[in-house]
Amino acid sequence: MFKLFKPGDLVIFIICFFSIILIFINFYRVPSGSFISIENNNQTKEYSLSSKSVIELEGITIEINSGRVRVVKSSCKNQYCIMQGWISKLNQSILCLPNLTKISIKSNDNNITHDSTAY
Amino acid sequence: MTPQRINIHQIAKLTALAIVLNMFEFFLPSPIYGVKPGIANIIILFAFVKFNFQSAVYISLIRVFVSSLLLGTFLTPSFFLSLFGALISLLFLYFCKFLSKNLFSLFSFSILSALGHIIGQFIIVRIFIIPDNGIFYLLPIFLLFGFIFSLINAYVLTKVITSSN
Repeated sequence: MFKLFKPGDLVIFIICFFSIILIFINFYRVPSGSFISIENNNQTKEYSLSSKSVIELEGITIEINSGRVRVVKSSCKNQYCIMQGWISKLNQSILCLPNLTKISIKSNDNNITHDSTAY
Repeated sequence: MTPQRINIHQIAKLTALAIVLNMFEFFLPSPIYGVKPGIANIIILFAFVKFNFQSAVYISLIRVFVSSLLLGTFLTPSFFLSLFGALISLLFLYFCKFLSKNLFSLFSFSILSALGHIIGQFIIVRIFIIPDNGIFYLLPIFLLFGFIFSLINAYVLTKVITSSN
C-alpha cells in the first residue's frame, strides 16, 4: 500500500514553506531610513530619525518621534501636510508647497534604494 | 514499493508521455510569464519512484531536447533555462535517493525537485541572461508557485500510483 503522506514529508513541507515565507519577507520588506532631510526656503538641514524633537521653522512645525516624522502645525491654507500624518519608511516624503518645505526620509546605504526591477 | 526493472521501451513510452504533457503545458495560459505547472515532472517522478534514478535522468533530458526541437526553441535562452532547471532538479532528486523511503514519500521528492528547478533557472538567469541582482526579487514568487504546483503534482501522482496498483 502506498501511503499518501509520511512524517518526513511534513518536515520538508514546513522547512520549505517557512524558508519561502522568510525569503518573501526579506525581499519585500520596505527598509526604514536613518535620517531625515528638511528643505525649507532653499536651505537643507538633516536630522536623526531616532531623536525625539520638535523643530520649528518659518510657518511650519515638524515633530520627530521614535523613527517617525509628521507636520504638527502649518500656516498653509489646505493643511495637506498635516493630513498626511506620520511617515516612517525610506523615500517617503511630506511636501508643503506654500511654505516651500520638503521633508523626506533618507538612508546612508545606497544599495537599498531600489524602487523598480527590470523584468 | 520495490524498484522494478526498466527497459528502453518503457523509457521511450514515458518520454513520449512527458513530451506530450510538456507540449500541452506550453499552450496553457499563464497569469505571470514563466509560471508553469510543470506537469511533465509527474512522469519523471513516476520513473524515479517506480523504477530508478537513471531512468528519470534519461526521460528528463530527452524531454528537454525533443520538446525544444518541437517548439522551435532549441539553443535559445529558454532552452538553456529549461535544461539547467532540469539538471539542478535532477541533482536534487539524486539526493532524494538517500532519503529513507519509510519516512519520505513523493511529496518530498516533488517539492525538492521543483525548488531545485527554480533555483537552477535563477542561477542561469543571474549569470548569463540578466546579470543583475534585481531578478532575485522574483525568486520568492516563483518559489511559492513552484511549491504549490509541486504539491498538486505529487498528489496527482499519488492518485495515479494508488489506482494503478
